[in-house]
Amino acid sequence: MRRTNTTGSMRLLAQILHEQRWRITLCSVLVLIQTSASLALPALVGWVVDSGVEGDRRAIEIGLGILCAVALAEAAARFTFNQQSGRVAQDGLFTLRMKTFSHVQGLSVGFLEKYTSGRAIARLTSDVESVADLLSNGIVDLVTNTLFLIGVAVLLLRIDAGMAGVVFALLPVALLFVRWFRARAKVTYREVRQANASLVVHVAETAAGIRAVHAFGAQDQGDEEMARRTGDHGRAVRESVRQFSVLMPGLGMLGRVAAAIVLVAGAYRIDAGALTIGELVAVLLYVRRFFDPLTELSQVYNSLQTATAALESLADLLDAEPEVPPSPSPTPLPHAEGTVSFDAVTFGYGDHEVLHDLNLTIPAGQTVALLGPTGAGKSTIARLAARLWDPVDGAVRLDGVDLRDLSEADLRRHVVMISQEPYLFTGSIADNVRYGAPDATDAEVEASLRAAGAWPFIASLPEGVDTNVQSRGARLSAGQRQLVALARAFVADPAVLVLDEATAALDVPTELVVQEALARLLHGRTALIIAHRLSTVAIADRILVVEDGVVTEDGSPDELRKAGGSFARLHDSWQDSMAGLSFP
Amino acid sequence: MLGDLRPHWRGLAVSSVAGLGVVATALAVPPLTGHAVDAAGGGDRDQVLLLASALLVIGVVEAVLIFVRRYTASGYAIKVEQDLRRRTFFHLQRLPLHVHDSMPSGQVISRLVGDLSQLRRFLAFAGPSLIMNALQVVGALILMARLHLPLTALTVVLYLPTVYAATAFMRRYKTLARNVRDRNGDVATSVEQSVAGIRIIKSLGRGPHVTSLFEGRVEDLRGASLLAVRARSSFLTTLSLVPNLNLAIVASAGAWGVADGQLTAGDLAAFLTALLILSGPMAMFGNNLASVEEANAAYDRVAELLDTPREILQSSDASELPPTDAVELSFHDVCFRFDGSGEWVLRGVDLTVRAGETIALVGSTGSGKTTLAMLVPRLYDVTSGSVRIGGVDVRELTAHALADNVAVALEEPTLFSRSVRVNLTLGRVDATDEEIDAALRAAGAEFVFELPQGLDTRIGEQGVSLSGGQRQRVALARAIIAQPSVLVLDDPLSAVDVTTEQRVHAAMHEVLRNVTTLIVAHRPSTLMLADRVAWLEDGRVRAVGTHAELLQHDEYRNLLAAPTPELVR
Repeated sequence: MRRTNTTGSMRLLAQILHEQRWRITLCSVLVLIQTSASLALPALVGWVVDSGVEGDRRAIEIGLGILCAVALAEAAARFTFNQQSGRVAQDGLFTLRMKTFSHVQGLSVGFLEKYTSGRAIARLTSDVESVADLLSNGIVDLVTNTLFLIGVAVLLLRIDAGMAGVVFALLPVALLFVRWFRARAKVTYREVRQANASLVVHVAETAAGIRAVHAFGAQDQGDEEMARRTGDHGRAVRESVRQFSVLMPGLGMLGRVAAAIVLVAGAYRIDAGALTIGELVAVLLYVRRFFDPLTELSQVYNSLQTATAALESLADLLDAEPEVPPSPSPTPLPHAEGTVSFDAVTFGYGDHEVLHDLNLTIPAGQTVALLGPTGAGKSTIARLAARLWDPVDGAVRLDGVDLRDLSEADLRRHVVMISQEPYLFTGSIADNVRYGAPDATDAEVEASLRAAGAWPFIASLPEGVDTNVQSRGARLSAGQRQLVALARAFVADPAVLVLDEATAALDVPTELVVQEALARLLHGRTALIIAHRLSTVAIADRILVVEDGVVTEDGSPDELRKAGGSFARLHDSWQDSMAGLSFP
Repeated sequence: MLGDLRPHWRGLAVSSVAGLGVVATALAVPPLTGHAVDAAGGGDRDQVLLLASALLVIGVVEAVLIFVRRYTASGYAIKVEQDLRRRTFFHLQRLPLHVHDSMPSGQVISRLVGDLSQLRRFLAFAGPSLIMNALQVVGALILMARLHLPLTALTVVLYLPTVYAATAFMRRYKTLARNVRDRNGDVATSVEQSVAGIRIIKSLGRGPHVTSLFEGRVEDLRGASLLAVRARSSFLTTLSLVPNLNLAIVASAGAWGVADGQLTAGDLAAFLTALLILSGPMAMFGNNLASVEEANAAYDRVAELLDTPREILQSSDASELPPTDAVELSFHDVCFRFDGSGEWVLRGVDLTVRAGETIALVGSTGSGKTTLAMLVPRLYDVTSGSVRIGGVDVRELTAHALADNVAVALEEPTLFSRSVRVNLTLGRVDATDEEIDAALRAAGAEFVFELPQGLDTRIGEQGVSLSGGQRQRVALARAIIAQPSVLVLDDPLSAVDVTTEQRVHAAMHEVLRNVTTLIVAHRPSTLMLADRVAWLEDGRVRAVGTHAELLQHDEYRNLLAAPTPELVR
């Protein structure tokens, strides 16, 4: 399970850095200006003080002017740097978020059900944010501190190569130390990200399932689970703090050790006449300046580890293959008649084959009902027709064009699927209808709601189509939600319609409303309906009975009823359940 | 926020003392080094060795103290974070449903996770560092005052603009930081919706539409963040510009003083050195003050959630009601409307379900069937009237007693990303394997036995995904396992195929015999389970009777009768 995606995370980081390379360069230059200005100030102050000793008032005035100018230059550089480094971070996060989100949109429903919205949220919020620190300060700190380190090393070498050698001898120790940290941080920081995601998942599921929690009085169980998860999270965070709390002062301590060694060695070299006191003081000052950036670099390293752990999770998500890859050179299909054909289609997951060598042609305008037991392959046929899945072998075609060769825009304009669960998004009823056609006018939205038979109940709402349906449509009944979902299909106005058990949970009067609406909707379109209810089958031109991935019966409802196969048996059992009139 | 810290004063004290120790050791190093250099110059090797050893020891002590300071600080910060998270979650789970309905999930998540993490980081790092900064500033000012009072006074006056800038910044930054946190919650909401609704998005091919909506949210977040960055940049610049200009002016004024002979060059040099000590903490102040406001905004968001009243409260003299085999369920003049909307959903429902009886609720879409059912487990509370179990108003029952007596299976079943067993025993944790087994068979959910790890198979996140019909049957089994005296079923088999439905109905007859049951029915087949039917119309009970009796009414027949077979062309 502990698979690491280091290459993936580094590739992502490199990509962002590449995009931001000019701004990062600008930031580095600005930091150099700012640092030079800060370093120049003490020297200038010294000059002003010397002028005072010499009694040169004119020089003091000039010095004051220069000092103010340098201070202003420093301020300008600092302001611009802070602004630009903020831009680097925010633009980087923007890119990461959009890239990940677009990718998620292409992933399969099955994958996302297992991945859960909670983890997706964790990736796109807290994980992405953990990269901000590295982007805004880390990279620039890395550049400037490394330059500083090299500069100091050169100066040390020029003063006394022997003493410099003593200091450099400690570097391998520092590197070993950093390696120790890295080995642990890699694991711990990943645990922190996972624990964070697990918190998000628990909160998200509890919020989504609050009805069940209340109904079963299961709050205590939820609290226990939260205590466990927040405990795990706290432990992981504490461990990560512990590791860095060892690394940072540890590197600082190496600086003190270096100073002590330099002092003792310096004493001997002064005795030997190889070093002056002034030089010893200088070496000591530079030792401090050598180890300070090292501590700063450890901060950068910490940010890098944090970011890497987060980027790994993002890279894992980005590595998940989209189920239906877009065509590189799509065949344009501005207008579709609506002929759907399955050409020797085989489909399965793993070694389980659901469909084998299916050949089927649905002429434009025909309404086909798919029947059969659960798991027989009805949903598979429907999803292949709507290209939610691609066949393993063979091809599904619309007007003779392989669905895989159509652009996403053309495909979705011509083929629309209404699924089992009438999911409503937070927002108004009109917003929800516009998921069918984002550019629909108010009049078109109303017309589609009327066509779907949803208008009577909407007209009775105080705010009409602008009524907020609240989280997951909590304020509408199941039937009302389904009517709104149906209106989406009307406004989308496709040539081919795929219905997955769309009318399963309605009471009869509403179902009749839906039946009429469906009849209107299906008029002049090709339709593929998965039905469990006789009432839905009633409006079909043609019935396909699917069993074990094979079409066993194919014909008009009348023909099949007379043929006496499984449709006839199913039809009889329906009749019985509908004939509630003779019910005890 | 301070109240949340009080229990952790020990950790706070240890880390503060360690922090002071760190400052002290850092101050001890320069004089020791100075002496050591003098000793080296004087050829006193023993003294050099001694002082070098002292420096080594100080280095070790310093490192240990830094470790202690950081580790203990994060220790109590993590505890505060965990306490608050548990408390907020506790509260969240007990908020009434209508509050949940109007609360975007992303906002809830960002408050419970992101905001609290932000608070922890502040308490562990920026908070203590701010206190250190303040101490360092005071120390430096005392040192300066002892060296030269007039120049210190000049410095204090010249530093005044930073005080003004800080107050203005903090006022402004609080709003900006709050905005960033809020926009963050919006992004989370947007992600949640797009994943939860992925089937719709995919089948309608609205990926680009949803992506552009998401882009809008992300743009807003970026915009809010950049405004905060801008405010922060200006403030940090002020905090660097003022000390530098002050240095220029004080140095020049001092130099004039030296030229006039009022000051020696040595005094001035010492004063300017002390002035440089001041600029260190000043530079850190900016980021730390920004963190104060960020933590403040985060804390406010959490506190708002904690302050949301839990309206459905247990009455002070709540009753226990030991679950018994059969108990009467009754509705007395029940009226209900969702708050804020003027529409009455229920307008005076009177209905009695006798002990052990099963009543089906029948009515057209929007007639109030589901709402009436949801009043029994108090998912919502009546606006007026009462719902009674065994003669006791459900509002008078302890939460515990209510949960023990009532179990539900809803049309849209909620399962959590845990094992099947955890999901099944939500209503009764101590159910035996035999009881679970029997309930699964009664609900037609034998497929559970075929899952890779049986009852211990994880479902949902990183687990097995179940079909809609399978989920409904697990939810039904869950309600049976709870062994309630009152069972509320809302069209619990709508996504189950006909054959399975018939099989489940046969088994359910046995289960329902001794349980008072209210079942929302949309189809004649569901009525097989009911003893009597309550026919709802426009939020009132139109009639109660057996299915056969009610069939006398044409309207009722139209409600349930199938489209005629002639429709089949």
